[in-house]
Amino acid sequence: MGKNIMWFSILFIVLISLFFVCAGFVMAVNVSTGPVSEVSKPIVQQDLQNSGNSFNDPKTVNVLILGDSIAKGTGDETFRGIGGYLTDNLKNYTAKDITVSNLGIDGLKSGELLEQVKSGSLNNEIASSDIILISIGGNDLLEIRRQTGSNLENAFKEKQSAYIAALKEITKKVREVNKDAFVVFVGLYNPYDDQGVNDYAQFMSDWNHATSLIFIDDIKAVFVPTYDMFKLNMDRYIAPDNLHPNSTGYQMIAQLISRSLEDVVVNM
Amino acid sequence: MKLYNLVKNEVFKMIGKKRLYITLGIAFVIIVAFAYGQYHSLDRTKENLSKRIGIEATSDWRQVLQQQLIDIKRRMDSPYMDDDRRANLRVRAEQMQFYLDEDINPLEVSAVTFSTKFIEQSLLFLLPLLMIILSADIVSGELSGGTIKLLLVRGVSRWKILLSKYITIILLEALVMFFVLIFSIGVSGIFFGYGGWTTPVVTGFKVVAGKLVTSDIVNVPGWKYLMMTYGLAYFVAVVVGSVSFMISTLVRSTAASIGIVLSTLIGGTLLTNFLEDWKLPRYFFTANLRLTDYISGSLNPIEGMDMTFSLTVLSVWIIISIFVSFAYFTRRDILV
Repeated sequence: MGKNIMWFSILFIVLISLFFVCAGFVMAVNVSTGPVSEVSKPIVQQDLQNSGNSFNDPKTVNVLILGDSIAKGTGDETFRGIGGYLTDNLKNYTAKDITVSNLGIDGLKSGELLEQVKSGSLNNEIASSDIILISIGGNDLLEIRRQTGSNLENAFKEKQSAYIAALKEITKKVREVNKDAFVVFVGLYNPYDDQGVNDYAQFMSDWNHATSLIFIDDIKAVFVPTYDMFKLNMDRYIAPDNLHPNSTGYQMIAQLISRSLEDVVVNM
Repeated sequence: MKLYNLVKNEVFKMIGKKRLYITLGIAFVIIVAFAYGQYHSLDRTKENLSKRIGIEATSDWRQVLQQQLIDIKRRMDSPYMDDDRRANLRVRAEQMQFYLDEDINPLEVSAVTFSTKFIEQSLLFLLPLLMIILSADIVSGELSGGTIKLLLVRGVSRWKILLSKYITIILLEALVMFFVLIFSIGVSGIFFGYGGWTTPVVTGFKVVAGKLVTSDIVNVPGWKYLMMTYGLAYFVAVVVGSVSFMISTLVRSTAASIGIVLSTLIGGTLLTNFLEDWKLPRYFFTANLRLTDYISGSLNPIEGMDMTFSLTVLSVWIIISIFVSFAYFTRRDILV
């Protein structure tokens, strides 16, 4: 009798288990086989041609923002970003309308921005801009921080030279399309300054310096450093993600930029 | 004698032999150790996770998540986004929304995530090993012990005896899977809490032309994902069980039988290092055991290898194993 109870309880457990695993197996197979429903399409450019019509319009100042999350305004709890505050500030210098097209993408690296610029899809935007704001490189440098190991120095040098090469190429392309626009490059700040990671601070300083050298010979370009402004104001200017600026931080960056551009915009 | 009675007889023989308890005991001890280890490295796990998700472990995760969610929604509207990345964003947004709605910190480990991870990790060695312990002596044990004669003299045809043994293996494997699940949920729940049943998990990755395609990915609740993982794990168990069943039929001594299957398993796993350049090892069953990698998307895709391929290869191995076992066993000479 006991033997029978045992047999049936075993059988019961086995059947439950079999049902469970078979159902799971079918689901797993269903979800990972079969044809791909959406074929991944290449990046589609939408109507960028139309947005170029304000070129030569003497009544507007066109600002184009290119680059990574800092360009886009990630971290700003009011979602205005550099572009929003910059518009406010520049209005004090000119009576013209100010339009901003923000093409920033989170996580963009210098290589990817180069691809964007090279592909020619941004040509209309670039050609119609009076001011081109670029923020790039932060994500390149962050990769170093996420790396561990003894060969950090070499990894950094490698990254930096690749980045500098890409940035040179980017500025060259931008200049090919538009040689009159003012180019503003937003320098990197160190969000980890208060954590005392000294290697990283050193890297960033080198990085910023090397970047600024690119813009030295261009009389219509300026490198705007942000490092010094953030260093002692981390708590005020950094968003809760401990990486991006918050709305005050973006306001401060926009202020730095608008000060550098004051005379330029007044004479536009 | 009916097949049903033969199977029943075999199952009770297995229970009597304590082999089943050893298998379950090993599984239990390893699960406890694994859960305890996981519990101790929880801080580091969180740190790794926070690096990946972009949340600092110390900061207020709700605020950060909300911020990221809004960012993602804005990015999805960007015209510079291809479908692959858009699908990624959509899935991530769904997950974040869930974490926010249910007030679950994404960095927390739960019993369900632990059990899923555990079986994924053990797919390559632990699970096959358990199945080898379970099944490697089912025929060879009778041969070396001479008890096979007692079975044969009862006038039951040989294929029926072998079939009953095979069915027993299949059933007991399901039994072991059941207890492994119960153990890992039960034990890890003590450490991490019994939650995670509805937490979304990303799946639906596909491999097309050697590339991981993410445009079809979806979120499924944790319990469903757990089921999928165990379903695939059971399939792996059946494959390994069948192969060791075959070896057990071919070899007389249990020790030799276990040794052969073990070295096949380890040797075959080493061969998988050459998968990318050398096509032959991919037809070996060990190269295809990590089935869960296909649903978790955590694989380094190799041209020509996808879920369909691996399942086909493994099924062929099952069929060959059964065929060889039966062909050999019904013909071999056994002195009565």
